[in-house]
Amino acid sequence: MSNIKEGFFIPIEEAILNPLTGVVLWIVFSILFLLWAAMSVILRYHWKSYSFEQKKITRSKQVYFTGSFLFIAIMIFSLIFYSL
Amino acid sequence: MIDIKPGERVIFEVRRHWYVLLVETLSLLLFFAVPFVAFIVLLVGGFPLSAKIIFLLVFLKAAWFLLGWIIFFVIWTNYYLDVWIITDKRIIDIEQKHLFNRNISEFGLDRVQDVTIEVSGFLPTLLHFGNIHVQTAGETRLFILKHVPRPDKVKDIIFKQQDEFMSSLRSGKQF
Repeated sequence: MSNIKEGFFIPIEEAILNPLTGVVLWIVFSILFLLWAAMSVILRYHWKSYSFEQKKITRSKQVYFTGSFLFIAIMIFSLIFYSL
Repeated sequence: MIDIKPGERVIFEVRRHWYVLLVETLSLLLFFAVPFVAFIVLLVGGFPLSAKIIFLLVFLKAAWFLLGWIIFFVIWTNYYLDVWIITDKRIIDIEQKHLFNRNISEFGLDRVQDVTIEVSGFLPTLLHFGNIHVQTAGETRLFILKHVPRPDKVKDIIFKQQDEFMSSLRSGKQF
């Protein structure tokens, strides 16, 4: 039983410690960031062009971008600390 | 883009009930919960959590939440932009099916022939929402707005505005 456990965990540990994993994670981050940027442009276009009252949509914009920047900042800092 | 004519007043905006948004968001909440469940499984399973693993997990969780965040705002935008605008002259029906599918139709209040409300089911009765059917004159088209909060109130507003509009037409104020 203990052999199975070791066999299961060791490759994951190795993968996490492998410097290449950090590079892959930065690539994942870049793809996700591009996706977020594209979706933000699309959403902003809809809010600006189709929203009936701009005042009402302003608060939603603030919430969306605040939340997004928070998650992006957490991703960047965790990747930096991971890569150290 | 919605053009409100000079001198035209917006009386009321009708969107679907918040219950609709809640139902659409529930699956997303499960999506958000997955990293927490995975984290608990790792803890209970006795997985050795070194600093590197913790940073990796934090990164993956944040990435997951960012995806969920984007999806939630797409759902919310579709909900928010799907609206009926009742002005003192007409009703504008904006049907936002998804981000790249949008239908806009409008009809004058003088063309409203019949307004029917339909509240069917336990939750609609409890939460006071239902469907409104507006039959217009001149064409066979039936306008339907689904899951409207307080449909009886919306119906009253439509009839009140129609009465005022017809009175103003008779007295020659509109044209």
